[in-house]
Amino acid sequence: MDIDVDLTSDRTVLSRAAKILEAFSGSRRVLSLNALTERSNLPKSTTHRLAGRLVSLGWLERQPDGYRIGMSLFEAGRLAERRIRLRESVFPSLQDLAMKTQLATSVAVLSNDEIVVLDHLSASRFRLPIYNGARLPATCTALGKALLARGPADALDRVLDNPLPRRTDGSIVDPVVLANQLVTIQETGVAVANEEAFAGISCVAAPLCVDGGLVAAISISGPGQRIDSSATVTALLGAVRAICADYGTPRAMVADR
Amino acid sequence: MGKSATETGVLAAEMDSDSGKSVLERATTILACFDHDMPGCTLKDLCERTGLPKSTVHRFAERLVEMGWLERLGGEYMIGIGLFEIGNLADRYFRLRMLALPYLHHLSATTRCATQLAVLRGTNVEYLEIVPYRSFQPPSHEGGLMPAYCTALGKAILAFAPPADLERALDVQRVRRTPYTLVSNGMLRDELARIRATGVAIDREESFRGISCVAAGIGGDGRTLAAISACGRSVPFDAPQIANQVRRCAAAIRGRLTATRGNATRSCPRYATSAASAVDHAPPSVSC
Repeated sequence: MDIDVDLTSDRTVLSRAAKILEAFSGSRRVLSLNALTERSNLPKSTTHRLAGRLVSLGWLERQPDGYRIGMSLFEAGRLAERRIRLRESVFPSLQDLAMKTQLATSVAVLSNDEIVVLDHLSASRFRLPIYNGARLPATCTALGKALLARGPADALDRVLDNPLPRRTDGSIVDPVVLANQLVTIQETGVAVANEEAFAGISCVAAPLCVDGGLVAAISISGPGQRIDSSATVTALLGAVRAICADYGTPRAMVADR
Repeated sequence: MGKSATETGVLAAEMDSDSGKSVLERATTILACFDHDMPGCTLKDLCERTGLPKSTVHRFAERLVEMGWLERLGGEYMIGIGLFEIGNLADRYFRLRMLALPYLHHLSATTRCATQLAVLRGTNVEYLEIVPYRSFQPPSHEGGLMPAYCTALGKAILAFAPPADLERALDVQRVRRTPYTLVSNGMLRDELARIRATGVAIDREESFRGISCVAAGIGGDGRTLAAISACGRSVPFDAPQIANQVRRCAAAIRGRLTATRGNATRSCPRYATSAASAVDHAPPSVSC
């Protein structure tokens, strides 16, 4: 076994593989070789060979009309320990909140200055148009704003230094407006997003901080121009307190409530 | 005669892909070290499990951390959120998972049980989605496997599976996981006949002591054989009442699956959507 592999070679191969995998999205789950080449920004011959390798390793699966992410990546991804731990601490409160408010609840974390939804659920007929694992711009979501307000300063700097994405007419694209909102969120512990990611859906969110460290954010979402009634906000903050009080307690020690 | 620029490029890519093969294989070997029993691995664990030199493992693990596929907490590496994100895009059961998940949430609230979605993979069931109820999480894991014969989900699927799938799943060395595991062929076939008559499968502590489960088949997407279940501690577990709720929920999911099957997948004419009778309960088979 060659142990002295050139570092740049590892990097090159792994980052190319990452480019190929990152070409897939919720709405593009099967990609033809041409689409994969275009979206991964790699030469077609490289894409073809690398995709073939990834198929033989089970990372991709070949389809009549192209390639798709393989089940072995689904299986590995469900081992993500941070999600498993957050689930143990957060899921009961998300269920309570969804029942109490009859709205949808979610938990998300920051990832490369955007948010990744780890879990979302609804106790009513209202459904969020997202899936677990979905990535959304932080600045268009209450979850993202809650995370940015309490998250690492460098993430916030990067976000404010770049053009803010517009997903709806309500998306905040002025960095000054966003910065002011984040100050308010730092004071109140509550972030609001009114139809900023999806038209017709509004949201309130709060950061989960344990021992001074940000671990995630939880949110309540519902139909309409705004849902930040005082009852909803009170329920949200109550859930935050309940989660933080038990956070990290081994599950066996938390009685069924 | 010198090679053309294109040929040189192809050659360079070929060499690159040769090293690429081993790079990706090593990355795969490292990722494969993690499982539900060992979610966190130290560098030493990874070296022992992969048999790769420490310097290689360290370099690869740190690179995977940069990519977000691994995360480092204290002295341990674990699977990262980046891999969770990519893995969720796996298309094979994506539609089934999306469609069933809200039903699982609802079923969890009404039965006060954890709920699960699984498919038949060879002789095993693979858990695709698990919804905990409050602080109760079943002993199964998302993305994990269990032998079909000892789970309610597996029995619910096998009872209506095409003969080839059924025989393959029964042709395994059966292990008495608990005193209640059905290990004899006769008992298992009687059980499957009962499930065909009632439309629901019950696991009475057959795979884990103290845990009971009720499952019903939901057909699936194309060739997929899938089922949902409600799972809880055996005391209190009101099996007949939970069975009714699981049966109703499965019928609703089946209806949605059939209604939304559309052009993308083959239609399945013998697959009725209306009544929740045992006959309608049959998941679409390979022949559909």
